[in-house]
Amino acid sequence: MARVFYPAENYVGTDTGYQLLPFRFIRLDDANELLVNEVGEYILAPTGTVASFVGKQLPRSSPLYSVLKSKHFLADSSSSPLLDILATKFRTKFDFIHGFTKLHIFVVTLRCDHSCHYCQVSRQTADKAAYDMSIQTAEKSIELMMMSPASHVTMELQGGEPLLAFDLIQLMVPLAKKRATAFKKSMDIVVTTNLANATDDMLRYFRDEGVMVSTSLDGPAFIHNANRPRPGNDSYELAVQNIERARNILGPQRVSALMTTTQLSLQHPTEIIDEYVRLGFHSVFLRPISPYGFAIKSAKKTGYRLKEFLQFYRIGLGHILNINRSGYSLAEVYAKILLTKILTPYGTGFVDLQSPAGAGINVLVYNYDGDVYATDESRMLAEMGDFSFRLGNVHQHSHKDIFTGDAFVKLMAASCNQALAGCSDCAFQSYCGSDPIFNHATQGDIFGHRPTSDFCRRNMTIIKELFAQILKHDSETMRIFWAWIQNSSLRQISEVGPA
Amino acid sequence: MNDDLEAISSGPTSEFSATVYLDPRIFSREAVLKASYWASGAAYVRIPESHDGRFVVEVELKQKVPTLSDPKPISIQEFLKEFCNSLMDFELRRQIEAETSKVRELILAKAFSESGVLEDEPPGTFVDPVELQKPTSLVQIIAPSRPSNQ
Repeated sequence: MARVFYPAENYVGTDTGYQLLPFRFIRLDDANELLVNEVGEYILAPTGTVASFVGKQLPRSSPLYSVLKSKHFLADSSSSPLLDILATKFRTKFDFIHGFTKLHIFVVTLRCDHSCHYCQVSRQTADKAAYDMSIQTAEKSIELMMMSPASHVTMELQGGEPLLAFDLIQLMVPLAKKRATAFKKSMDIVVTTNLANATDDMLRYFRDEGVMVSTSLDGPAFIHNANRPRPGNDSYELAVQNIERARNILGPQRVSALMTTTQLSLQHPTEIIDEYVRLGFHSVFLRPISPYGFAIKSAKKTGYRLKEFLQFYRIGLGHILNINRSGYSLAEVYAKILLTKILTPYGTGFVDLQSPAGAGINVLVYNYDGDVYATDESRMLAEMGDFSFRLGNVHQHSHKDIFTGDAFVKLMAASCNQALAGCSDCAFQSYCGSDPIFNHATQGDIFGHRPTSDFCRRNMTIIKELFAQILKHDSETMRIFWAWIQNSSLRQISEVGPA
Repeated sequence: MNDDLEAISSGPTSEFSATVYLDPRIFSREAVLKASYWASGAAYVRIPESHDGRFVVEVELKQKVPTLSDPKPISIQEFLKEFCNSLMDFELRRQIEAETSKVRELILAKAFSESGVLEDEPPGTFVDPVELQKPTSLVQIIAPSRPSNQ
């Protein structure tokens, strides 16, 4: 005689009560709700789920009950000690705060050979004395970087066009390395350059010193040259030639490119992405223009409305997914950052999308004149006469002065989305961030007004778009997403189960 | 919808404005304010003094005519539907917050207590500079002696 188990409900305890654990929710569309707990774990469920769950009407025998319990949305009499687990996950998510400022941007010169419409700060001049960082300022700035508690720092050399001050770079790199050794810090060095003036000697120097190169590529020639005018109108040709040369000398993994989206770019998302593929890149960052500096002054040439950018992004993301499906690995960087937050227990440390905001906490900018800013955008505002986020000066202020000064303390008040109106209840809180400097620049107030905020609408729309992709339960799309998160090629990612 | 027995009763007062009456037994002040905050993107919102115990929310749409950038502005009827959904969502959120805020605080306290950030001694020396100026003072606050390995 065969023995069989009774149906599962016979084994459910008699205690039907349960306790809610902290979570937030949002209606994704007419049919679906998204529930996200305190540590960013999510559940997609049919509309009405939250009301019955909060109303304690969810039977223990329902499959959803087990999911809610295992993902720490509820606790009942048989729950394991959950505080320890949740606290550990919380610490993991916020690990990016540990060590404080890690990215240190040095503006070695404001001089530049380009006159890009969207550039905030560059100067077309040969006057080195007026717009180059002095050796004394460079030394003081490096010393301030070393005061950061972080055991690993990234030194980013930018401009203007930093290669116009290559002699200064040659002094700064060994000095920074020497000081990092003395302070027992490890360090990455990146130079952000348009590469137009890069000689083989410079590239060999970067190779020998382990310096990485980040350059600009706005798309095919007709977009790149229109966005980035220079004498001879040959910015694109120089960029393509020099990317190839830099790859040959430094190695392909040490050369990356960033694009800026202008009004012209908006009409051509697929052409821009195809250009990145043509040049052999495996990531592209569809990033909007910053609402600062000349980008505002030259709004007719470069400006656009958020709605147009979101349309551009949606088409671009779809095109990128199709490219991946055809076998070429290409990650969209913004989606990758968000997906890492959505699908893994980890934070990212991406300074534009974190809470507390990255300004000061994760990035510091040392301007050519010794002024210290909370972000590169703060420096751009200063170029327009708004010094709200000037935190100090390397010649006058200590690390402590800078981080206890009025400007930084004021900034911190609006830096946590957990405590901002509109964000405190938002289901996307743990995926999103706060950007008081963006709020200040666009809405005249560091706290901002979420219902009319472009920052809020942009991130809400893109995060919803990613969840719409996840909701399709398409294993191929999920493989692509995991390949992005793990910096792997598609071939290295095995079958992915349902989200 | 103008039924006093309903939790929500509302009606357009013009093509672009409406008044919403809310039963305080169903909706909390917090939910009303938070839903009104989000409504303030598309509408001007007023919450005048109530004379019958109900919450009163007056709304007036900001965009009244189609524009090139927004050729289909939201109608007052659509706006009210969204506002009612938003009210219910914020009331649920209030209930979740009420039931879970203590657990949330415990999780955060535990997370930070084990991160080490609260265990370092504050920097500096603990002395009272005012009293130090008066060496003959009967009471002085001096720095505590520290273990030799620090």
